[in-house]
Amino acid sequence: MYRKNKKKKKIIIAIIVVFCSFFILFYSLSSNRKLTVVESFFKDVAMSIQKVIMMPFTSLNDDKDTDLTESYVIQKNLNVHLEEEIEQLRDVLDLNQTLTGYDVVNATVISRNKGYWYQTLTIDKGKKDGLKKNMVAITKDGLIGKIQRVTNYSSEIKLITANDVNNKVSVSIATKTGETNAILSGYDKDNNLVLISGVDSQVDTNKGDVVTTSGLGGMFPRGIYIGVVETITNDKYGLSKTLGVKTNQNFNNIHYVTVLKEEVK
Amino acid sequence: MIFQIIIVIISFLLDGILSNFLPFMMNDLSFFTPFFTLISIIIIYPFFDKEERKYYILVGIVGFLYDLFYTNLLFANTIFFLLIAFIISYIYKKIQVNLLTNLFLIILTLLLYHLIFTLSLFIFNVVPVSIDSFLYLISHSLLLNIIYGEILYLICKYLPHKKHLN
Repeated sequence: MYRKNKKKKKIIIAIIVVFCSFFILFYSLSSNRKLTVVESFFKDVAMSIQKVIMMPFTSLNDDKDTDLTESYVIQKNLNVHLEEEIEQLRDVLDLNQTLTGYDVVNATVISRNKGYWYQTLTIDKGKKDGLKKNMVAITKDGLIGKIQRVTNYSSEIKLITANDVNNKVSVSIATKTGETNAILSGYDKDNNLVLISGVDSQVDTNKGDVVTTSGLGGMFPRGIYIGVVETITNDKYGLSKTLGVKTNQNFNNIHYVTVLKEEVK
Repeated sequence: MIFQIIIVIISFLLDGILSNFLPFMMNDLSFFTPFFTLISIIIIYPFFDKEERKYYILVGIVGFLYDLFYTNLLFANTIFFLLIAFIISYIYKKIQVNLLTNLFLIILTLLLYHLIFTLSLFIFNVVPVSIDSFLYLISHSLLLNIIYGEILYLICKYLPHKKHLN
């Protein structure tokens, strides 16, 4: 009798453990999960320790002293949108969604997510530096992603290469006949290309067309360089095209990033 | 036991340092993708004979820290590590440990970890997963971790504080 009860008890405990584990996994694996205060605190402590451990290694990187902001804003953005035009638009229409309306925060990459499916990076700047969720992260080679989670002293950046349903970016393709908008929605792992789907087949797109963020949707500012069109594939019905965009960014070699922060008025 | 804990700490730190400098993009992984923390907690199990409770507490703590430092997935790896530790400890009781069985255990550990992780992502529909990427991930994490696991096994075996190793 006692043995039977003991066995029953064990089975009940096992079922409860399995149920709880499923619940915890469902909660923790979600990429849109909000950080609790306790988790933020622990993450900040962990980040500080990690920063100290990684210090000898991060200081070895060659591009540490490169002025990412200048390189990015001047060399890339100005090629696409003239500074004068931006100033006029800003003054007349009070558009803050241009790069000149943004402060920048330079940050060091502390770690990469070891859960390879997630494609995220952790940087050493957080709420204390004015960073918020959905702010844009760039390098001198263009857009790399957006902030997904923020603690006081660290932030997690989701890369544009993540094949996540929540990871859509509105982009603008500068074609010979004008600009056309589309959605950057995936990553071709085999050819190392960022994919733009749903481009109207009537639009005359060519290899080498420059792709930048369109500013639509309000999340990403307009004019951030992404890359150039490398491949063009028509869908089987001939209604839309999928473009493969080659970025200059080596996503395996990101050690320093710049986050665009909204300017305080 | 203190030596085994030091081994886990060193593996944990090495894991973080190496992952920051090796390619980590999908389909662009290095053949030397490290999972040293996971390997180390499997290798040290025989040294916790009759102290299983302490072993599982250590695995739980390591899993929690792994989530906190490297993955941002609160308690996910804690559960995965504990589950793998349960399975591997059961197998340990059935086999004699030597270099060859150790090799088998390392491969099994990596297979189980990737399988459980990928299956969880698939079940909860968090990010798109594919069998190709899953196999790619396994194939690229075997080499370095097998070498590391075997070295750890030899170090543990010849440590002066060894306890029960068949």
